[in-house]
Amino acid sequence: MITYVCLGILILFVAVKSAVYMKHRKYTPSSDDLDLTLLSLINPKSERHD
Amino acid sequence: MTKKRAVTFKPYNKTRYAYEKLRVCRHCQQFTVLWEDECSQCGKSTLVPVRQRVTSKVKRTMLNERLIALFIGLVAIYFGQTFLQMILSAAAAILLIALLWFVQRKMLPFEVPLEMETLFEQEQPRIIEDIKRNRKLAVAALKDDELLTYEMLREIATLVQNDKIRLQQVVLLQSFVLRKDMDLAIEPLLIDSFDTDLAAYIGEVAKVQRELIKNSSIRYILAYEAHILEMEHGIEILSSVAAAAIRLKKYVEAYPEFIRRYARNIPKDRFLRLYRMIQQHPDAYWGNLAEEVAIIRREQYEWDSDFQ
Repeated sequence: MITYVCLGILILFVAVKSAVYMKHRKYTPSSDDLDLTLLSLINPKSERHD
Repeated sequence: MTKKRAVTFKPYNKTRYAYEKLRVCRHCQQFTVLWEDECSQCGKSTLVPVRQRVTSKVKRTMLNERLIALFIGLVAIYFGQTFLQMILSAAAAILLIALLWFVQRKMLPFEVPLEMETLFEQEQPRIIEDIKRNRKLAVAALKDDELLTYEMLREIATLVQNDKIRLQQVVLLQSFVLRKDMDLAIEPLLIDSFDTDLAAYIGEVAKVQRELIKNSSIRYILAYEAHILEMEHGIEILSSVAAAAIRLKKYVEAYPEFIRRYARNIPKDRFLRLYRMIQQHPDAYWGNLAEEVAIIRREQYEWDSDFQ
């Protein structure tokens, strides 16, 4: 009985993790996006022409 | 006038993306954009690119997930009531862990950028603080070594993009003798307002590396032409930019009036190029430039064999 519960938990764990990774794939930023994000965080609009 | 120094710049490692310049210490998590071998905070040689750090973190997370799956699998095997049950549990656990490992391997290239974005957002205050520390280091070096300060500011300017740091670089560049073999730039240093040092710098670069004179620099010079004319060597600056612009027909076509105004002051070889360009494309729109070039040729080069 415990074996089946554990296997059930394992299947659920792998399924959920796989689903989360697949979901993350849709929102992955490109290198250009990363650059823009970092530059906009370091250079707030108010300081760009200081 | 301060005497200019002849210097040789440290080679500038241009990266495709600005974030590739950012490194982090694996020991104390300090960020830096400079090229130091040792962390200035803890003194250890543990500086790595941010991407590498994040990749290690993601791989560690994925390993932990596999270990959790392994633990659950081992528990399932341990509590098997028959030998067959244990074998089947082991087989199922191995298959599921293998599946998890396969998915993780495929998704690693997508997880790393996501984690990097999260890192940038979470560590924003720290990154800004550490870059300010880099900048203080650069300014502190100014009294003893202007070249080092310029090189440090050049690195910092990859990430910090404001007019103040651009002008700091320009002022330093104006204290060096500029040469053809130097790694110079104009576009990253352009600001929105007029600055005499920047105008003078553009004029100097136009003489030694005319290929750096492009649309943006010509437009800057044009926008502040009246201010530049009030400078001591204003006409020289404008003439050298006009001479550099002649290197490409598209600039002559785009700015014929500007070139016309300073055509009399440009060197013979540049004027000759302009003259031949107009001769070879008589149907192109040159405004009053063609007429002015003809007048100058008559006045200054009528008997010059190069113009026959």
